[in-house]
Amino acid sequence: MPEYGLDAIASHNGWEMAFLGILIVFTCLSLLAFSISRLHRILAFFDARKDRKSVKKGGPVTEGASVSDRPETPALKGFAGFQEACGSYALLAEKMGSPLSLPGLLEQAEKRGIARSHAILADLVRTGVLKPDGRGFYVWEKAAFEGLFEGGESQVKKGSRALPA
Amino acid sequence: MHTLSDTMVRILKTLPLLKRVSPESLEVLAAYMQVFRVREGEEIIRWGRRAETLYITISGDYLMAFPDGSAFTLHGSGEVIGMNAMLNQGRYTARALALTDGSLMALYRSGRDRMLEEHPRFADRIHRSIQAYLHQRQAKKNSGRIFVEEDFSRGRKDA
Repeated sequence: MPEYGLDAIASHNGWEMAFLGILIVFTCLSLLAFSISRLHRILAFFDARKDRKSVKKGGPVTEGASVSDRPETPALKGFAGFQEACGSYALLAEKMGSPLSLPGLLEQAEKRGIARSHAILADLVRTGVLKPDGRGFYVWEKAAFEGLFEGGESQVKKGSRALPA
Repeated sequence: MHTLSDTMVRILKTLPLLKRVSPESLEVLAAYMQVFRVREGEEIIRWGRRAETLYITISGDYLMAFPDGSAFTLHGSGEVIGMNAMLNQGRYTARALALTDGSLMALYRSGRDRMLEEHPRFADRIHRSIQAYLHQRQAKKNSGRIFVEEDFSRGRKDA
C-alpha cells in the first residue's frame, strides 16, 4: 500500500535528505562568503609575491623604477579641485586657530568632504604652508599659502619629491 | 640566500639607527623584509595596537599622529614607522596614516623571528645597533631636544 505525507517522507529518509541538503547549501554559502571576505588578502598576497619576485629577478633596482613604483597619485597642481581644496583648508585652519593639530585638521577636512584631503595636506606641509611649531603642532603660513598660487608650479614642486606624479 | 634589492639595502644604509650595522647584515635584514604598497588615506599602524611590524618608507608621505593631537609628517624614503615592533615594547604609541600613495618595506614579527633563528649573529648586531641608537635618542629626549619617542627617523627635524 502506497505511503503518503509525512510517513512517506520519514520512511524514505526524506528528513535526513532535506537536512543534508540544507547543510550542504549553507556550508557552501558560508565558504563562499568567507572566501569573498578574504579575497583582498589573497590578492594582496599575490601582489606582494609578484613584487618580491621582480625585486629578486630584476637586479639593480633604481629608485626611479623600483618595484614599489606604480602610478602615484596625480599631480595635485593639475588636480582640478586643488585650489578649491586648499582654500577650504585655509578656512579650516583659520577656524581652528594657531597652532593647530594636523590630525584634527585632517579630520575636519574629511568631515567636510574636501577632495583628496590627505594628499593636499601632504602638499601643504611639504610646501611650507603648514609649518611645524616644534612641539608637534602646526602653524598656517599665510604668505606661503599665497605664494603657492602666485608662484605657480615652482613653489609647489619645491618639496623633496615633486607633487605626486 | 635571497637575492637582495639594491634599493632596499641602500635605503637601510641611510638609516641612522642602522649605521653601526655592516652592509652584510643589512643585506640579511633586507631579505626578511617585504615590500608593499599603501593607498592615500590608508592607516598603517594605530596606537594601542600590538607592535608587530616595523615599517621603513620607500616612497610616499605619511602622517604620524599621537593621542594628544600632536603629529609630524614623513616624506620620501628611509623613514621609520613602528619602531616599538623591533624592541618588543608591546604597543604602538602613534597612528600612522598614508597621506599619498606610497610604498613601504615591512619587517613582520614572523620575519624578525625567522631572522633571529636563522641568522642570530646578524640579528644580534642589528638589535644592538638599534639599542645604541635608542639610548642616544633617549638622552636627547631627556635633554628636551626631541619631542616624540616614536620618531626615530632619518633626518627628523629635531624640535
